[in-house]
Amino acid sequence: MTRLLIALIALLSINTVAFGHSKMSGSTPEDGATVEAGLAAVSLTFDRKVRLTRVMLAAAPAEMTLAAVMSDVEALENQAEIGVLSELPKGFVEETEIDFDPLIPGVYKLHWIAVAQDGHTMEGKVHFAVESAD
Amino acid sequence: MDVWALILRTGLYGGVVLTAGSAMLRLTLSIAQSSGFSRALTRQTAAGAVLVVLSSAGLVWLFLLAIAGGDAVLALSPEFFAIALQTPVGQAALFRVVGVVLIGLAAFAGSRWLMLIPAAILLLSFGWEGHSLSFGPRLVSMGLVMVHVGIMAWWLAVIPPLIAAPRSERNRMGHAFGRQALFAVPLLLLAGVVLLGLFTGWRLDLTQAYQQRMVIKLIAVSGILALAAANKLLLTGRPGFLWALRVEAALAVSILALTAWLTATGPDM
Repeated sequence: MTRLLIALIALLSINTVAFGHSKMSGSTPEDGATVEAGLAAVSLTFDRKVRLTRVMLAAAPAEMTLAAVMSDVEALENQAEIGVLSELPKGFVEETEIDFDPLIPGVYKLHWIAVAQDGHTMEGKVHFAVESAD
Repeated sequence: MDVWALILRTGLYGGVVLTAGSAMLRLTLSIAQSSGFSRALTRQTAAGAVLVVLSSAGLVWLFLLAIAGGDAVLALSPEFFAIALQTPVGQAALFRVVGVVLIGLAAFAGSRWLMLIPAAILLLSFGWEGHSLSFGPRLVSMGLVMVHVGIMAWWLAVIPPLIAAPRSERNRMGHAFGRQALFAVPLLLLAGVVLLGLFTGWRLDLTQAYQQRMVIKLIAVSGILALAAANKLLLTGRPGFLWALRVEAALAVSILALTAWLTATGPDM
């Protein structure tokens, strides 16, 4: 009886604060970074497990700067998507890598959408510039 | 905030009031077995079941669209349905559909005791998803949500049949319900207060948008409590009872909409 009581109390006291809304904790390259030509993957890291449901990569028109793309939340929304080579993970993960063909110099926006284990939907963007190696 | 989410969630709460609430009324109020009242409960259970199914389907659709980035074709793909079922959002919707189907079967079988199981499944669906997952011990918050939503559904479900009933039956029913509400409503409030405490970390901070919205809901709740007390102590059996019930019904709808607003926007994290 005592064991049962202890087990019940333990079960009831499992605190689920840690099950709260997930957030992206980092990316490589970082948002706003400038990297050398040939970048062929972006990795995303979350503070808790999420299921990525959609990733859209788009290049900015030649005249747009990285700062301009970052300051306009609607920027590149209607641009053609660049094909992503890797399949999105089929389960909930804390870290994932998105592969694509090596990028030519330009400004890019990677828009991701995910769902957390508590059903909370989230999205975010990673903006970066790719510059020529020379 | 998406206005469709607000409408659908209000519809869902209304549907659960009409289905689970009616099922619990049948159990607790022996007087509810009288033919007129029983027919009214059957009608509102059927209407509630339709509301639950439509609003649940609508909410899942909004969820699928959100995770598909607005791409309707992708949202309708089997893969995305499978993703939905991996989350509490899809699972709770499934519970609700199962709940209303079982309520229909129990009604067909004519067993008011059997109706308690699907009613519990419907209530469980609210503890299964949403912000109760994110605050406090899981089983505690789940239990509190079930008690809070359950008593709320039981209370509000009595209003439409009372309005529709002939005067003498309304007065009898009003007295019988009022006696039980004396015990149930404090439990409803207690569960609500503890949930609010868990969601806010027991910290009053009216600079937070969630707590500001909660104050609006609490004003509406105070209004309906005052009216319910007036009904119980002064108006039952007297002229004005019917009008007071109509005002109570309007307040009930506004409280469901405010709750939908609170749930759709969520506590500050």
